[in-house]
Amino acid sequence: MKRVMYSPEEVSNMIKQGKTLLLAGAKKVLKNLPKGNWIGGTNVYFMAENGGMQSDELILVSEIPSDVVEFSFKYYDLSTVKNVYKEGYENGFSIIIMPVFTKIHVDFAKASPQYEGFAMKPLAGWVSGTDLDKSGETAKVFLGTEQSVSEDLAVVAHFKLPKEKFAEITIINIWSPGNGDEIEFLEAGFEVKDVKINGKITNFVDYLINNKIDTNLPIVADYNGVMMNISFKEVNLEKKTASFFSTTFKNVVYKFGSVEGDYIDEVMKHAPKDIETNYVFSCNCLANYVGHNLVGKKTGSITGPATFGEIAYQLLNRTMVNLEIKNI
Amino acid sequence: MNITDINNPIWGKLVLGEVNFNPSYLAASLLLWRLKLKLKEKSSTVDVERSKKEIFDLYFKCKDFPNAKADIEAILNLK
Repeated sequence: MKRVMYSPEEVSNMIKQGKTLLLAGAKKVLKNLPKGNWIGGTNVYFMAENGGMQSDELILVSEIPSDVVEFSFKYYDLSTVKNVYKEGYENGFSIIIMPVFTKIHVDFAKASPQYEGFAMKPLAGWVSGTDLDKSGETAKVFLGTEQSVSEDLAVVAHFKLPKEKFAEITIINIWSPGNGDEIEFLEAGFEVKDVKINGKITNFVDYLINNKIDTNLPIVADYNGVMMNISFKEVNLEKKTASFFSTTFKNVVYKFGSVEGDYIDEVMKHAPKDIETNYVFSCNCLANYVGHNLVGKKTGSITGPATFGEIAYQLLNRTMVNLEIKNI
Repeated sequence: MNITDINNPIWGKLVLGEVNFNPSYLAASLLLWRLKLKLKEKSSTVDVERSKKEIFDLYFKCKDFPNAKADIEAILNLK
């Protein structure tokens, strides 16, 4: 099993050795790291080599392999994030990290499928967050080449691969739409008041209450053979609104999700062949970490941060995202 | 297998959802989902041509990747 959790001192040494790193950790440990070839985001929940764990002392390290022949790291703001796909190397991949519930997170969630060059070049990543038990903190991203931090920009690492290699992103999602009512949203967004239930406009909160629906379940839609989940963030009884950790889309039919069997067994059953040895980057969803009680449990030998959102070309939820480098 | 012909009518059928196909290449699945959703709202000739070009360009660019290669073969065999 590959080691991924390191102390700040060990990570500092890796950076000084010139290694190229993707990092996840608490603000207090990331902010003191030296300048170098790394990007990072705040997060204290991990699927580590010894299983799911929480730490504000250790840093999860994904080291970029020597297959990469060139790279560039930069911040994107609200006006430039639309260029993130087209600015990637022609043959390569990009990793993006953005702070949760910022304008850039919301814009990316809603609009990234419309950005120029969407899906033409592999883009994976995650949404940085905070310790759920600590209020008043804000999520951050770090750009190691500038030794700087931001709480409203996205940080991106673009990597170029030699012509005999390619990067492939896969997702592992064990959820599928259940047999219940059809839910359609009137607008794309993170928050909703009224929805169409089997074609009839209804207040969503009333529907959830009247039907005693467990909002720990995600709503799931079939995006052309790819199951996409949306997890509930909050149900506001006073405002009669429901909010989500990802965006819903108009003209898409969602249903409450169902899953059969044990989470770990199902993940390994859905995992692509050889993923455990080939992946370069992986992340899982914090809702899986919490909802399936993954503390101390392993998803095979796949490690990565348990995040506030996963990115595989676009924002996802309650999914595991993996990026592999393969030979053509 | 030949992916050099964007004028093959199958690309139009694909983006308009006239043939049922779930790609195994993730990028193509997500792109095709977005294109079909867009064409549901507005499907002028220009929109359809633009959408055909987008999915064709993605597959052309990735034609040597195993999952994309398998998809292309399956798409070109669709009726």
